[in-house]
Amino acid sequence: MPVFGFDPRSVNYMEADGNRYFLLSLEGKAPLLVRDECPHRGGPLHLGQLDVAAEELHCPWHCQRIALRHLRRSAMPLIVRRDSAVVVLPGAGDVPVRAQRRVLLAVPPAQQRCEGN
Amino acid sequence: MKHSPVKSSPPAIDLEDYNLFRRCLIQYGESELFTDTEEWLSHDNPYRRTLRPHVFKHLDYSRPLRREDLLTYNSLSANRTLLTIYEQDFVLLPDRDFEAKQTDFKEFYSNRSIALGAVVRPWLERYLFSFLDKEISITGGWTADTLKAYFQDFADSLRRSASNKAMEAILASSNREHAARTFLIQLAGDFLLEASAMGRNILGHYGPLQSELFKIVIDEYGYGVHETKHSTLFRKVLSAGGLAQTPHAYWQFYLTSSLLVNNYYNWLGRDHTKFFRYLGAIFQAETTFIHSCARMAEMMRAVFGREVDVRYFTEHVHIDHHHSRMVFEKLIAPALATHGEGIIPEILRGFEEAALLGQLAEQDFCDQVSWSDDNQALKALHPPIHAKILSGELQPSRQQFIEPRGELSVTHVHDGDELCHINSGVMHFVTGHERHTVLNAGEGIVIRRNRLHGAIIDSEQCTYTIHSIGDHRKCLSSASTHAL
Ligand code: FES
Ligand SMILES: [Fe+2]
Ligand SMILES: [Fe+2]
Ligand SMILES: [Fe+2]
Repeated sequence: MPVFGFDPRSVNYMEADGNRYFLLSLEGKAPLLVRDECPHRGGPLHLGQLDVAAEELHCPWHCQRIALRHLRRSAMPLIVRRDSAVVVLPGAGDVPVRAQRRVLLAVPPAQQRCEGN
Repeated sequence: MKHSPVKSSPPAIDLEDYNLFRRCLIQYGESELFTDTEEWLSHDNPYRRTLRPHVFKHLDYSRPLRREDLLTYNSLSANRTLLTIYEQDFVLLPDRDFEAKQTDFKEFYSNRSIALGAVVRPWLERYLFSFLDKEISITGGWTADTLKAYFQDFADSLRRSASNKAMEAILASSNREHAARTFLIQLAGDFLLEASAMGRNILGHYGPLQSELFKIVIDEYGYGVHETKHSTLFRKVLSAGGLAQTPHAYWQFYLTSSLLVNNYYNWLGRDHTKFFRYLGAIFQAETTFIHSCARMAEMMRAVFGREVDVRYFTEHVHIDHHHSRMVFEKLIAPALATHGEGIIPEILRGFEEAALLGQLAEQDFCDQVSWSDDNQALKALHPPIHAKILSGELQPSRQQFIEPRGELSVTHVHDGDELCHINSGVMHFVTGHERHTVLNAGEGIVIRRNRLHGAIIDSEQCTYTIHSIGDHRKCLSSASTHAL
């Protein structure tokens, strides 16, 4: 399993072994590294909208609501320090990890709610 | 305020001149791509589609089609031509042997053809779609709320009643497989290019609506994975039905109404003044499709076996549930908020027009299934009517033809009933893909008005006579007169 160290101030998105992940930072809570693919059709969850009150993330493609509880439960094992972080990702130990900084829309507070269901 | 052109006299080109249109139509038809063929199917060549252009000079498109005449030959011909013009906007490539088809490719996209099509297209659109203005009127004080209530009621009513006349017709046919194939052929005209008409609305700059429509296109195109693109899934359905999977292989077997529906969405997508109408139309289509796809999947399994690949249909049962909601919540509602309630009549018009055309196409399909099924009965009507012609009791106008073996009459329709009589030789009278009735010398058949058919000669030579009998039921009744 790849153990990957990164700087959480400059990296918020990564890809490894065909999977995509992004850093979900909720106000007042420890950050999570979660799968980016929506369980419905693989929509990009980092471009979704957070509904903090409802504890949900809304996928941008078909507005499916994903419970934060679910994301928390399936989050990757992660340690975050002030200026470095380390995550253990699934897959063979030598798979390359591509780390990036991307525009994340799934950030609090939810400015616009997705009205779909 | 209405815009009127700034005059530069004399006009370089008078687009309102019917004669100009007519000359352009005839010239448009002067291409090898469109002439008659000696084969029923077009094999992996999306550029060749017979339009029977030699008939163009006899057709009158000066006055819009009336609803009663929707299935006439004029209409069939206008629809075949219009779809061809629309598809010159799309990239079409054969599956293989491009080199051998390269001249056709260049001709199909030639400036000559595109320019002529640009003059012809608006005339054919006006001819084909003007009747909708008379059929549907939208009045009164519509608001976002009343629109929502109406659309919600429509969606609920579909959930309550799940009947589908076309599927019932297939399952009741004496040749279910043929009827099912005929149905798939009608869908193929549109679904092998699925979402191309929608793609016409993707370009431009129109705010968040544009991105919302794009999300639907993402689904239609299978998230960029070819295996899941909707048209790829439809190819699998065609293969399950034992049919060829390249666009327009069955060009000759499209019913007029199927072409009309296909053209309608292209019309709305191409003419951007109809953008809001398009939104209403796709709300209707996406919502209806959820339910009809469930019925189609059942039909496919019933006819071709439980194992057939019906993912195209099951995918739409699922995703069009989303699309229906997305069109309303993410396109129509925000469009009203941004552009005002003044667009409601156009949205409603699109919704109503799509529904009406869908009903017309369903009826046309059901009628074609009975027409194919009833061929033996219509053959049995030949002797009594022909006897009346021989005795002089009926004196319809007639035309005689002498044709050699293999001569193929490209599929067409007649505007009144006709009696076909074989004087000598053998004809295969064709009513659909791989379905025909054999007519030997002395035999014949009643050809019902508006019903698609073709023929091929199966003897060294065949001489046959076509009598224009008008209405075969009147010919059979004892009260028939010489008035024919
Ligand atoms: S892909 Fe996320 S809701 Fe469909
Ligand atoms: Fe689709
Ligand atoms: Fe759809
Ligand atoms: Fe005919």
